[in-house]
Amino acid sequence: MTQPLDNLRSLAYFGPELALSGAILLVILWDLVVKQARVAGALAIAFAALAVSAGLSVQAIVSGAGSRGLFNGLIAFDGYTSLFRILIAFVTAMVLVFSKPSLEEKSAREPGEFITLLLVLTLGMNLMAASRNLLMIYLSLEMVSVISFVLAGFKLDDAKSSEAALKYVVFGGVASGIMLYGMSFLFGVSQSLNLSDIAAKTAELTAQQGKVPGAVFVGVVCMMAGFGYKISAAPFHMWTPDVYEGAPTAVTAFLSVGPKAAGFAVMMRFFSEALGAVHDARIAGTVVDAAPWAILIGCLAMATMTIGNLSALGQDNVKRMLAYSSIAHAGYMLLGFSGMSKVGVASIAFYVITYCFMNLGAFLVVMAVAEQNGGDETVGAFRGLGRRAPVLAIVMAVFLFSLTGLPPMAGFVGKFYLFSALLETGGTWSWTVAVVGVLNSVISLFYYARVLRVMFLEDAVATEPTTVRPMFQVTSLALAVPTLVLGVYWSPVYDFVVRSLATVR
Amino acid sequence: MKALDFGIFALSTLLVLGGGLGTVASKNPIRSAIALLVSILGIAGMFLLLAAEFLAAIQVLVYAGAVVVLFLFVIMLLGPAAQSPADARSAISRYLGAATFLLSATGVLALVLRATKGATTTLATQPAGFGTIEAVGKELFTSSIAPLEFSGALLLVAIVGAIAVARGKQPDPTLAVATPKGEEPEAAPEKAPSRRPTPKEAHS
Repeated sequence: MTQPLDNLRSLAYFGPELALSGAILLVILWDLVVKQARVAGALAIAFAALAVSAGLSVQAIVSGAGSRGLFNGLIAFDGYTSLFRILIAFVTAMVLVFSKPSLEEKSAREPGEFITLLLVLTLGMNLMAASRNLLMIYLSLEMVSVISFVLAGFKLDDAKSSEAALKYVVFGGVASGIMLYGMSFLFGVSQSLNLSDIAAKTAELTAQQGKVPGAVFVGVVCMMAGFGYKISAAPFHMWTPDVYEGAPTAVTAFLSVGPKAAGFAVMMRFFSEALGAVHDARIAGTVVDAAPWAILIGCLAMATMTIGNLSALGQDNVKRMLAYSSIAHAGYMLLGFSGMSKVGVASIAFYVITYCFMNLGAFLVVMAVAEQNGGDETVGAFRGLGRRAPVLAIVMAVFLFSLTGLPPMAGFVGKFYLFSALLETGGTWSWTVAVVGVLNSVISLFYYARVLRVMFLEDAVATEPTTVRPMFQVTSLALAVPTLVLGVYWSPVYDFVVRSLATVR
Repeated sequence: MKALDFGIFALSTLLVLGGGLGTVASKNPIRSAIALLVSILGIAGMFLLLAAEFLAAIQVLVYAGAVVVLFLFVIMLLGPAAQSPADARSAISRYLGAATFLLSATGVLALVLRATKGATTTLATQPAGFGTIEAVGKELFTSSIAPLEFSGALLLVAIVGAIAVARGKQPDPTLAVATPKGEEPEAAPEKAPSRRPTPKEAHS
């Protein structure tokens, strides 16, 4: 059990967030005051803060720092939070590397603001993973949403980018409105914003009435609108293709991984701490206990996978296709959670790690190819890439195979854990969801293979080799290596994930 | 006392419902904004009825005082004659929307009815002074100081973001003499994407 700490003593465990907050202020100041090396300096500050955030979190997991409730129990300090902090810091650092060339151009718009906003997003996502109070959940979700709107619309001269930002704002407003409505139900029932109080009250009422009270059910369904919006699960996925297509590619890469990971983090914590719905696997009777939630999540998972994969089939723009693919992947991750077991939580955390390598990589290749072809992001731009830029093409093949979930890539191992976590709970329902998931994986092969065919089997109009920035080659290779290695030797990472989750409650 | 309670409740409900209807139904955007104001005042009355005088005051100050005025500002900037673009959607999608709305409304109603039919849960009475300015202030600056700080940070970065997006869209007003017409290009590009029916929308 965790003991809550008062405000002052909490600060000792709040290092990662304090470092990020300090860096945010420093970058703003640096951007204002310094004339020389503006971008380089701001990037250095950002990388330093991210390193501190990740380093402190690694240390917390390795030293087994236990579990604490910071700020009177509003924010959690535990292995779960630390794990997601490391992941989020990594994603932000990668995206900063991606966007470095465009930031250093003379024509770059507001590089200082871009870095500041990215750091604030990181802070917000850290808080999302750590929130154990409805108020904090809402505030951190809003922090991430508001900054995402701005970043999506960062290309001002581009009508598509503005369209993306506006759609994102409208959908985001509706989703958080519905979520607040759901929260009001939970607060009405339990008269507390603390997840543990809600859990106690829900358990009491469930025992009294023999089923989950209707008000709690309605509240949770409404809250799923907010979570579903963040992880882009159906039916709250509508914004995803337009935003992913319109936003600058580096931002798209970030949005497809970072907020999704944080969204899963906050959703899983909500279900486990506020509803007590997540159990150790293989305990007889628990599945019945968690039934409404397992079925709710299972339905969402099946709908999300199917909509994502079927819509991706007809896409001609690769960024748009990857957007639908990211919806499908949200579905796979929900599938792992629909077993409502702790193994499921671990499998999702592991999948998010593998997904972050392969998806960031795929977007990086799209970015490199689009740069060579004057901003063309359609499948046609990939024609003959196998001949013109063999390194990029092979690396892209690795990412796409991994996204499909073929061995020996990381995506296969991740998917294997997701499915096994679901099937461990057993029962007809789990098997139904799993079969739909497998069918979806087969569908997904078609659209990923289309890009592969175009890259290797079709001849381009121009055959001379293209020059790709060395940065793109090095970074994409750096992302491809873990994608391959995690496919054959994943146990240290999986063990690390399991170990960090062991401290939760 | 009961009759007075009911009177206030009836008045607030009428204000909320009438205001809401007016917001949606009136063609003139200024009328809509004023109807929204009426609806907000009704909600403030409901808060008063629940003995949450602080919330009622905030509702009037922030929403009626600031937010609606901001809406009016934007409407005036665009010109009160600004018409919403003609609805480009086909009749089928409208009927589909209406059907979806009806379906979900019935679903919610059924859930609410089912929830009220069974065992009712009586909420515990709040301690005296709950929801007063003193209680809220004490809560804000002791146990909830962290959320307060984070909301401050959220507002700060929202300002930074708004400036980052808004700057560069028009010539710097401090350098050039801004003509009254100068404001229009600022608002127009924001609106343009939403009006343009794109072929993509069919897919999404």
